[in-house]
Amino acid sequence: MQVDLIFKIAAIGIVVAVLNQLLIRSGREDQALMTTIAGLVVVLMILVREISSLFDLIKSVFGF
Amino acid sequence: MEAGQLLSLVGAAVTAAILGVTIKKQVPQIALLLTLAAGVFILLAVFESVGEAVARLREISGVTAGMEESFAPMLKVTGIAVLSKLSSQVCLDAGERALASEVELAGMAAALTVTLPLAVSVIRVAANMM
Repeated sequence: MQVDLIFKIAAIGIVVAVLNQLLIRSGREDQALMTTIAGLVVVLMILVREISSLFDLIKSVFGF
Repeated sequence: MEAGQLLSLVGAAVTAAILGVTIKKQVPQIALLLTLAAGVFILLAVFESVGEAVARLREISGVTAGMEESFAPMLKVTGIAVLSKLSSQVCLDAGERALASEVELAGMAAALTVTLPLAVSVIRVAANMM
């Protein structure tokens, strides 16, 4: 896992936060929620691979 | 672990913390995932270097006969502790204290399951001596 992954996730977070604010201010709160969920799904897809490789590493290091 | 690697881990942690605080008010979900990502990144680097030390320890313990079966549960309990600590802290960050304590409980149960044969054999040896 490289450091730029953290920056990618932070960038997605900032974009979603800005879009959220925009949509809430213009009164479309349901679309703001959908944007948040979309950002969440994207970040989760990135993270799940890393979490699974962490678990494999823990399994191999600690002998499960 | 070399100093350069430690520096990159420190930088990643601090950056993730600062960025997390920035977006926490608007999207606390993604801030939490950012914390998780930084934690996963650090732990991946840590376990890669710890793994070499553990492998060397395993070779040494393999030399002394009979130590292998008492050494393996110790290692497994360490891994269980790390996993349950990480997930319970992430739950605490999300404000879910009940979930966090339940995860810790699950970790305790898993550790008990792993060390039970060892405890049984110790009790048997003690009983044989009496």
